[in-house]
Amino acid sequence: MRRGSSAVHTRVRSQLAILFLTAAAATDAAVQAALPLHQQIDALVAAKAGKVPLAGPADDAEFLRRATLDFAGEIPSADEVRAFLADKAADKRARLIDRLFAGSRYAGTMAGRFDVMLMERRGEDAQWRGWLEAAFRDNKPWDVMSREMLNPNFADPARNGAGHFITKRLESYGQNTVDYPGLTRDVGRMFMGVDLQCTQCHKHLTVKDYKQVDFQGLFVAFQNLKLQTPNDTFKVRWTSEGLVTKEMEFSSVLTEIKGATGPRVPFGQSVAIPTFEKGQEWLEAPARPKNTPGKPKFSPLAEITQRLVAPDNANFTRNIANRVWFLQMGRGLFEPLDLAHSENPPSHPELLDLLAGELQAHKFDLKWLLRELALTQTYQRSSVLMETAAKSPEELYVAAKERPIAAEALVRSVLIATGELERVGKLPKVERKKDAKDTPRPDTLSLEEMTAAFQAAFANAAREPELSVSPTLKGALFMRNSSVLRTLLQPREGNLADRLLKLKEPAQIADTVYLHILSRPPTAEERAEVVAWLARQKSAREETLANLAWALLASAEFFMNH
Amino acid sequence: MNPPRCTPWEHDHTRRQWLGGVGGALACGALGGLLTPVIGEELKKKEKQVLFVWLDGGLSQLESWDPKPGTDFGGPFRSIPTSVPGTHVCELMPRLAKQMHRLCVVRSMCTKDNSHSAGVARIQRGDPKNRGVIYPFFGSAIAKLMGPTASNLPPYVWVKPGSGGFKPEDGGFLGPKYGALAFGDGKPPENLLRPATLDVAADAARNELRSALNQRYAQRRRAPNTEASSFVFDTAEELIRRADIFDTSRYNPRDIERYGRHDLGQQMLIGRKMLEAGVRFVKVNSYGWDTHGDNFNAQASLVGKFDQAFSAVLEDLAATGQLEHTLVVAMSEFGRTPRINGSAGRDHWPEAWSIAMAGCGIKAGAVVGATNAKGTFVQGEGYDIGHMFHTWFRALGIDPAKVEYSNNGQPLPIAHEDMKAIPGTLA
Amino acid sequence: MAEPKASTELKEPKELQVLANTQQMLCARFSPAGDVLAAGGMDGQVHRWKSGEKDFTPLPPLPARKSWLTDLAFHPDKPILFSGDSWGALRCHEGMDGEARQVWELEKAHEGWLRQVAADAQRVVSGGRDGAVRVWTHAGKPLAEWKGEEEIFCVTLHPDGKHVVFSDLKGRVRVWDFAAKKIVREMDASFFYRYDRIQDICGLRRLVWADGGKTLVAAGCVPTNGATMQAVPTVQFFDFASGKPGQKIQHGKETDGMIHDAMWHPGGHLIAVTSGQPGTGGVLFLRPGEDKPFYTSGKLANCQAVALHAPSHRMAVVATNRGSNGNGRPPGKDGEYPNNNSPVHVFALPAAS
Repeated sequence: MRRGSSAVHTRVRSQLAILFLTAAAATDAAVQAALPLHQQIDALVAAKAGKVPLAGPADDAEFLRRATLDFAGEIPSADEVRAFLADKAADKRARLIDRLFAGSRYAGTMAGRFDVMLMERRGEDAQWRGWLEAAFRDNKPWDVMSREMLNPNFADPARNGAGHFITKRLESYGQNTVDYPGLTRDVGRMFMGVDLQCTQCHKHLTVKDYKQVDFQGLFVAFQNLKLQTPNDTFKVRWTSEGLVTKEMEFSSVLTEIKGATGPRVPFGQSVAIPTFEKGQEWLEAPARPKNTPGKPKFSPLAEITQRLVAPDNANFTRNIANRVWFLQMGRGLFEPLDLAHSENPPSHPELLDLLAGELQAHKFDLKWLLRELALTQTYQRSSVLMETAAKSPEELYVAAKERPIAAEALVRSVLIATGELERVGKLPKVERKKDAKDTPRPDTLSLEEMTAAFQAAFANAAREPELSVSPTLKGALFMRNSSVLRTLLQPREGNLADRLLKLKEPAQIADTVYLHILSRPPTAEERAEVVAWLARQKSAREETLANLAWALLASAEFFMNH
Repeated sequence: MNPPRCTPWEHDHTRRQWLGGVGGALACGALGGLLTPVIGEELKKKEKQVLFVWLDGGLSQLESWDPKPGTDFGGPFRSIPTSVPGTHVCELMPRLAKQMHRLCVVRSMCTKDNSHSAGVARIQRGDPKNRGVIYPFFGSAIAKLMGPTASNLPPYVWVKPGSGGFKPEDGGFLGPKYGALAFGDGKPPENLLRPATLDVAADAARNELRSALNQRYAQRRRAPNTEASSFVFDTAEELIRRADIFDTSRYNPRDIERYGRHDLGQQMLIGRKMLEAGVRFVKVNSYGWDTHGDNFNAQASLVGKFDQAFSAVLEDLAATGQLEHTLVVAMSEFGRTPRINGSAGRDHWPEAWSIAMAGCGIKAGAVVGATNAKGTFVQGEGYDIGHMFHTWFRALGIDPAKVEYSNNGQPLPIAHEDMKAIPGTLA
Repeated sequence: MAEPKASTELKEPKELQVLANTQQMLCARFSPAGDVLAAGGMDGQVHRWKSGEKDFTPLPPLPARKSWLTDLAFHPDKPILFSGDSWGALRCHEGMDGEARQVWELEKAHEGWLRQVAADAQRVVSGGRDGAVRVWTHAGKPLAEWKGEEEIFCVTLHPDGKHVVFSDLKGRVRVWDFAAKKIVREMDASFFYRYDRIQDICGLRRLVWADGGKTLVAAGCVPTNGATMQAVPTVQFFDFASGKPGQKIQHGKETDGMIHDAMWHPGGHLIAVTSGQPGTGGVLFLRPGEDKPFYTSGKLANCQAVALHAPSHRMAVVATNRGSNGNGRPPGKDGEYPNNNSPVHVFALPAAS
């Protein structure tokens, strides 16, 4: 495990300097080190790619769509595409990024992306979502966010939503009992990029860095929590801590070798457990009549949080750097995202060191890092390969990687493409009985219900990470036959279907449908293809136009953030 | 506390992975392209399939395959002779008694899990030695190892009472793509039926355009994402085309009567139709076998329905010749206690119970293993579920000594490495 | 019984004795004179105890094949015992002292499980899983037969001697004039039946006469779930002459299970015993017109049968040992796989009841 990232940081700077000196563009090292992060990133990526040709920059439309999906959680409208394409300013991409970061959808979009990453579709929770959104709106640093999640202040209404990370995982679901090992595992995965589950019962069979004590030390703190129901003090579900008075003993089921540990951050030192005189262990003693669980003086959770979220825990910094990189580039510098260890080196070791070091230097400012990444050529490259796929290894980042579009962004994108967002957004939320016999008319579905329908079709199952583009049969059946989608393609005043109906020229139809749905104008070949296809159709015109729009909506291009 | 489990998430979705799963099936399609249509048809006919009947909660071995009338724990029922001289079954299975010459019954199952929560999953996952990963259910394993048949229908279909949909959890470490496609209450998945307002030709036309767009898009990009997208749309097409399988209104009324007008009967019939249509692995599920109370009246009611449905499907598979290449298994997560509790019930008993098999690769008319005179424990060697997985894989022509899974590079046995197929069960 | 105990001072039943045995019992009845208690169960034999000065002492069992002995009925006045078994046999024993002998046996009185037996001074009636209800002479000669699609669970003879009343799996109660060979009336007790998943659950387990035959009492449970058997003990009164349902009493929780057996006490109330999930169950005394039992006891677990001898104020309840569930039970101390058993509890009843 790497430690002391500030030292590493310095080392990277000097390596970078050497790199730039030896690279074709030999310039003053001091100047290079002062370059903005995004340029340093591009230099490292280019150096690693070596002779493999880099894809050209994404064209304006592709970039606009990518950035809008990333930071506004939807595709750009046709008007936005037209305006962006018409804009001749040299810095229009940087200005777009700034506009999106300042935009009303930024906080909600990032909250959504982090929600899916951190909670893995365990179900929605308004307080949690509110806390996440506020965190991104106020640009709360990641270390602060992490502390709030790991050792929640359940009494503070401004921060108690963060406790959902823990409380949701302490629910029993199905026939499972409360999954303390699962919570322990997820803390390691989400905050340190290490999946220690396999070390619960024995040392890791394939990862020599992971020892049983690494799991058990975290487990001491998290198995000590008990889920409590809301009350006057705590308006959300909360957790109490029990007394930990001695080290937890464990033994390997493989070797029967025994061990013991107090609270301990993986790969760190065990925290000494203080001894109190009998009766002095509690800050607030548990009280039977009110059934309050009490509050111990020694809080393993506080000890763990303080040490896990700390400058000398390199895994903490590297994890978030890698995860944010993954969010923007579609691939982690090390993968799996939760399997950091010495025998699984990053594809770009210096780059990861650089990101981690800079993020720490910038006090875990996620917005700053996201912006720097968005400004890189690496992020802004086209997804069109220069060479065959075999000759363009994905880990070289020579072309943009196609990324999945989450169900929530997909539904908004479909509504924007079909010109239905405004209408659907205005429909009132309706309380419907779950097993009501008359299913609601699809054209009365509110945005919330529409979103639920898309989530059912496209979101992964609970506890299943959404990491890559993975089309499913369920999703394909939804696209093909669902009345929910079909209703959006019926002409209504001002929507896409209506506009298409009013167009006379097939070429105009082609242009419009491409611009609205794929957020770009068609090539001449594509336009000709649509014109020819239209000419072959025998259905009623309205039906034909709906089918045309459908083909674009159901295309792989629409379904990916390319 | 939950059993330890280590599931490295599946992080990369390579093309090959796509080709196997519920989602995936191009392998056979591609192979089909190399063969003349006649040979292709021939191949399809002989393709190995599985019918897996799951009686959730625990069939009582004493009221079915291993009766012990006239003994302390024998219960109220008699035993009856079968089509195999010398072999008797409980009187609650008169029809299956006549199918005994097609069946192979293992009476010496001795497994470990005593609770449903652990048992249902561990038994269906083959309860391999603790490998630190969640193993796939049998159906997911077959979906991975054999893929879909040339029909290109999803390889693992689960016909069950209750909710349907996509059940990714069965896939275990193989990933959600190898999960089950579940037909809840025998009904097809949501959105299976083409809307009445969309005509077939127009649907084909819009899909043709979609394919053309995908092809152009994929020309200079990495293939797997677009391929996967095209693939799921094609599989959807295949399912939509075969929606008739699920249209029970078109079933022969005689069949409906013969299989029984109850969930198990009707869903067994749907299962047979799925096998006919070419689904690789069909699981037919029945719930409510956990007869802790009033066991004897309950099993009389339940076993009677199983007798009807299971004998009908065996008869039909035998009549069409399908049984030759279809492995049939009927089982629960455990048997039921010999001891009869105060509620006239029988409780969970993994110590000594029975499994019935038939068809592809299985020795017909065999009874393997035995319990002692009172039926309390296995006499001689007991077999765990790992032995069964070896047996089933062998019956399907998969050699567990040669075939293994790869879990992110970690080789994993497909069945418990300390066990082997049960002697006397294979043809 | 030599001298009926003066029970005037008793306010509620008082346990006098527990008759331990090694078998699980399903049915029990007192001989007409109250001098013999007979019980049968899962070993097929009739177990007997004779009442002495102070207590009951065992008599040798009446051996039989090892099916389940499912029901017993005494001749109303004579020491003649009729019994049925789960393999379809109907038997007649005479003489209730040590010299009791089997007079006849109809090995195939029914095809399979014979569920209940009833007798009056002239006839014996039996019903079974084969859907048949049969009337026999005391000599075992068939007199009449009714056969239907559904399994028969309960049979009883009306005090008028003309009508047999029986009920099936689905809670249909039929009044059968067996001499005229016709069903004269039906009573709907179908709420005792439930179809859960693919299990048909019969909740109607005993038909009892009250008020000299004016009222029919249907006892059992309303099942809410099969398999683990969730059910609430339930009693339904019917007016025999009209067939109209009267009062319905439900008492207890879903885990309390069903009334397995019941008898009418001439003092004007029903004595019912219940059994639900292992460890539950008890005794209920129910009086028509009241919505709750006026006496309940939950001291006994999993009561399968009750026998009443009103003249001597004696009641015997067949219960089950505690801890009867078998999930993962290890073998007993001697390494043997342990059986459950049915202690029979003998009570003195208050004179008033």
